[in-house]
Amino acid sequence: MPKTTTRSTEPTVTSITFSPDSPREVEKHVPEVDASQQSIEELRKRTQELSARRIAAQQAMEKNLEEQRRFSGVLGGLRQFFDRDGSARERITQEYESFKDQYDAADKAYTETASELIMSDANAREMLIEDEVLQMSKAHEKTGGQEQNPIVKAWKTLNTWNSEWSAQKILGEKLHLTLPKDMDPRLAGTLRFVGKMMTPRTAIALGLVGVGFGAFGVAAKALDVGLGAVAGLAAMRGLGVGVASRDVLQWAREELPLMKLQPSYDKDKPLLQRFKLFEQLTPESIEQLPPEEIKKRFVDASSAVTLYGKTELLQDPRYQALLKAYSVQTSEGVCQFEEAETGGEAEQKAEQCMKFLDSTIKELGSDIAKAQKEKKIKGVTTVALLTTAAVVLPGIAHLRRLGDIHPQQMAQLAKEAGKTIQESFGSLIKFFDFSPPAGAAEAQAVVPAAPPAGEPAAEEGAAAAEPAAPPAAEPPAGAAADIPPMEEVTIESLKQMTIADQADTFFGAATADADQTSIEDVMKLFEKEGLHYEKEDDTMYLTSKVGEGLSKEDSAEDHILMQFLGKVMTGTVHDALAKDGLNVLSVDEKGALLNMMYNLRKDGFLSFDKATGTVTLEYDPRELAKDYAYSTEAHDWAVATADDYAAKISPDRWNRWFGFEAEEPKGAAETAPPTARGGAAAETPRARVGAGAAPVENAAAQAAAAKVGIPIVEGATLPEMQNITTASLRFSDQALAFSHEQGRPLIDPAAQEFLDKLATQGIINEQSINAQSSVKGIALSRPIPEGVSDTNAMLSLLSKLCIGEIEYLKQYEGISDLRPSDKGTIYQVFKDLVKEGALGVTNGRRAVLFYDPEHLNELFDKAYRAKHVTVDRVAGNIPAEEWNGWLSWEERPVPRAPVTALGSESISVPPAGAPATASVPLGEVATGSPAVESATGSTPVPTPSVAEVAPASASVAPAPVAETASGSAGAEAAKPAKLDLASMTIDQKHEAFEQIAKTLGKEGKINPDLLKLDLFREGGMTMKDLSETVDGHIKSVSTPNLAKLLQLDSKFSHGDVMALKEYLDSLKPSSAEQDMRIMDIILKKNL
Amino acid sequence: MPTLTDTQVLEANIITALNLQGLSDDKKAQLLQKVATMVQKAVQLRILKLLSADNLQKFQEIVTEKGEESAEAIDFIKTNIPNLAKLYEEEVVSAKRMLFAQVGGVTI
Repeated sequence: MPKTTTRSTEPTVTSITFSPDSPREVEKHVPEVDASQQSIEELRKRTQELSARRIAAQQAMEKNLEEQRRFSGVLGGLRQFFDRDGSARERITQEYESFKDQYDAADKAYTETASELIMSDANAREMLIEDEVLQMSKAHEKTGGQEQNPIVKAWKTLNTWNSEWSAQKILGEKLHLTLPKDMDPRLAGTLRFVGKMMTPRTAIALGLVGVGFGAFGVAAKALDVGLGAVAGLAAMRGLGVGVASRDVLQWAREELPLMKLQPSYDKDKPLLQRFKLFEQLTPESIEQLPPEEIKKRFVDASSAVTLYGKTELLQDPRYQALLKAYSVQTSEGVCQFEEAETGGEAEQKAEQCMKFLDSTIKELGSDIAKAQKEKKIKGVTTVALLTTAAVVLPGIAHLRRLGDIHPQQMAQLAKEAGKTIQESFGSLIKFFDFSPPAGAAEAQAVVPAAPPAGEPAAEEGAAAAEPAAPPAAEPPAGAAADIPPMEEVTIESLKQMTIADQADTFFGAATADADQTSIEDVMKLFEKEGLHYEKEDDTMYLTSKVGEGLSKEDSAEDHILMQFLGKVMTGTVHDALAKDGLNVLSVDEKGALLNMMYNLRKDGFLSFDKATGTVTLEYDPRELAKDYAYSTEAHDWAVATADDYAAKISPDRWNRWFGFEAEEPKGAAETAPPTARGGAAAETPRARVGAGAAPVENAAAQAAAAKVGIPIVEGATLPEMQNITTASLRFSDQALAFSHEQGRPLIDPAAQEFLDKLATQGIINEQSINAQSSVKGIALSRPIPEGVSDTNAMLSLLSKLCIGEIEYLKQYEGISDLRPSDKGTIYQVFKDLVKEGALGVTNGRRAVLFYDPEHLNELFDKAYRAKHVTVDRVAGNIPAEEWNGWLSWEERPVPRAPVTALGSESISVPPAGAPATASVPLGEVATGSPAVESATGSTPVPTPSVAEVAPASASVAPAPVAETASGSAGAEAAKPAKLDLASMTIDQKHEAFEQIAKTLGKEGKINPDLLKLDLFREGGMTMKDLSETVDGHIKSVSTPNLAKLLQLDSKFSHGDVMALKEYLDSLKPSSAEQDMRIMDIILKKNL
Repeated sequence: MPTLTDTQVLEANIITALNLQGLSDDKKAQLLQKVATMVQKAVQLRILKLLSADNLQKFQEIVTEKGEESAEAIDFIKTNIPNLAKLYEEEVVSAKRMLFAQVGGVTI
């Protein structure tokens, strides 16, 4: 469908000038061209006149400065002598000020006029092009309409290519990716990103700023690794073209769904280990290094820069020597950081640099292709980092030489690109299943890895020399002797085998032709570990039962599965730890193991039959080794979450599962200095506070559950919550406490204690948790005291749940008070919740939150990572004492509300017979959300909750204004009388708007998005701020989104929304006029 | 002002060359976007002109039958417009020269 065409000579890019679908639209605008040309001619004259004036002023200033300089130096002293009264100097200074004023005025006028000229000229030229296309199309006109016109068709196709496709696809090497329709969207997003990045139009924009086809080269080539667009945008910024960092990051976040923060440098043990080798280098010794060593050390150091922001290394002579050595060895050209001294040299170096990039990319492509073919990339990360380093750094160096990118910008760019690349490659590698070889490090460390059946051993040797291999993966001499021949394998040696050893034993070259009977004999050794071996077709299974092969000490499903896994993974775990010089599991290793178990279960390779208590594992050590390597290497959210969960399982349990005899030293995991949020859950204060506390008895769970009338799942045990104090529960802990999956009791004592604690703050749980419905979306509500705004009431409610997170931040980021960014984080979560409809205010003057800790965790984490300056500012405007009150358990206590099973007496219930009005706006936009599901859960609760009495609908009859005195007074007062908009000041309009928004909110007629609009007024935010929170850019707010934003049911017609959209498209940021206009539209509809 | 080589033009930053550093970031981005769109269309027009009537017909058939995103469609253009990247480059240079001439006072 053709886009709306609005031809305009106004210099604004928001006025679309041409329908990409059809050049026919041009026809009716042709007469405008002449007028436009006249206007352009006038602009051109004016621009050149201003330019001349500007240059003249500039020259006058320079001449004046020259005169001023004449009063310095020896001769200057003489001149000063003759100018004793200083009048000459004063005159010159005054003249300078005058010239400066003239220059500033001319420059300002010139800038405005010139930009207008450029925009108008570009518009006019576009029109001419379109006219020409139109004329061409007429020559090809035939029956069948535009679809049959080859010019129209070709134009439309080319337009799509240029504006939507990657430049790489059209101009460079193609990256063939066929995405299955049922592919994980997360992965598909990554692949789409890799295959479809910077468009030719963006590349053209780069060309315009001189990073052009130099950078185009960088971009087009580097598209393979996801650098192009980020580099381009950052380069534009770095070169003074100006795309704010916010835009770059915003873009990156939108475009790169997988871009996430990396764990802290200090936690990346493999890198730290390898980096030590770098530290031992000197610039002199680098010259003596063999090429492969140069490459390895360069990659390691670059990793530290790109992934962890160790930008100081860029200035390190060793790093620069490595870069130079690596560049020289990789190509015939050099790419140095030194600035070129002459133009000719610069051009030459630019060419050399591009050659270098070309060859590097080719080499990397070859490496990756080879690794992919062999399915033996050693270290996903290494390859990604190699790519990052090789492409990003020289590319940036090139850009730096061309322009004036600040080193910090370079580092930031490198860091961002590095993250992206690593993420992309992680997913790609998983997708293509060329994850690290069996057992990753183990495969290399214990034996020279045998090739997969059917592949010559020589290839393996070549792979062992893979340049990207981290040193840790290099095999120690003589390690091959560790694996006994098949016939000598005992259960003891089997237990000591890594999973890679097991793969070699059962599937390696040496056993490829072995007697199947002997393999099965060895497999049956697992019987001694309580694991029963079975084979079906060619698939081997290991099974075991609770109470037989598996100890009854574990009864939660995940614990049982971990116990089982421990029986086949013990050797792997011990071996991996030994390499790291450890003798106990660290929290991230636990997390990796737990994550592996979750993955296996999710993929169906590991299962637990509750009816029979049987665990079944599809045993293929080759695959298990890959799974283990993937889990240990991946640095994604899943591992961080798994770390959180893993930390809550007692050390004794871990020791039992994985055969550690010694008690894990208390606080062993606590010594790591975590810096990244969520990266080291075991070290949280709550873990220490509760260390050694008596385990919570199952009876306690039963009592707690009985308290709310909830049955206990038979056979379930308590999770390991004894280490947690409810006052400092983080969201992830809250999620765990409220989770009833995996055999946990439906309500955990910690969860109940947490709710009780909230109840002392007046926050009550309005819905029961029951066995049938999801526990997600518990409706927590709290009365709003007189004089407290809705915003503050909602923030207060939310903040009470954030205390654990804040405690965590305080503990580990060394802060003693809330920072603006912390407030901003909470405020952002608040905004997200309101937008989702999960947080709002009832007409009974209660703040209500559909409480889903898992989701809160996600939102908090997202907000924490993605800082928004504007939000921080708004949050910072809230008085500190408010925040302190909200976030402290001790201060501002609210009298404990009487709590029964449902706490129903505190809930406002409409009078009998009153229509079930939408007293809660929450559901209005949250249709289908967990909140709504919960609110409309099938299992009835004895007493109506807010959600029940207020079905999620906004289209019902008007509600009573309010049930309570506190609520009604304000609502009545807020009802606006007829207002004369024309005579109102903006302040009056603000006031009226707020009143209406509040009233509608109380009546349930307004959705949270509009309520948010109200909140923005309270926060003193502008429409620009609002737009940023909606969809990034106001100009990018699509009509459907806008409609959603202003969804006022019958109050706003489609025409209104379109009018508003049109207006928003043309508005200038922060103008009072825009506020007036938007409020006019809203007010008119509500009067 | 001495005649600039294509390389010089290509490497010139229109913002600095035209002394437009005083523009706001948003305005700079808008301006770039606008000019880039113009260049994009100029490239498209060049391509249309370079394709013969027969080729246009063939291209239409390919796109209709195989789809806009088909490899055949891209290959067809690449075959018939051999140096596509160069064409883009030329249009960027041309646009920059045009802007320099219009505005004057270029600083490179």
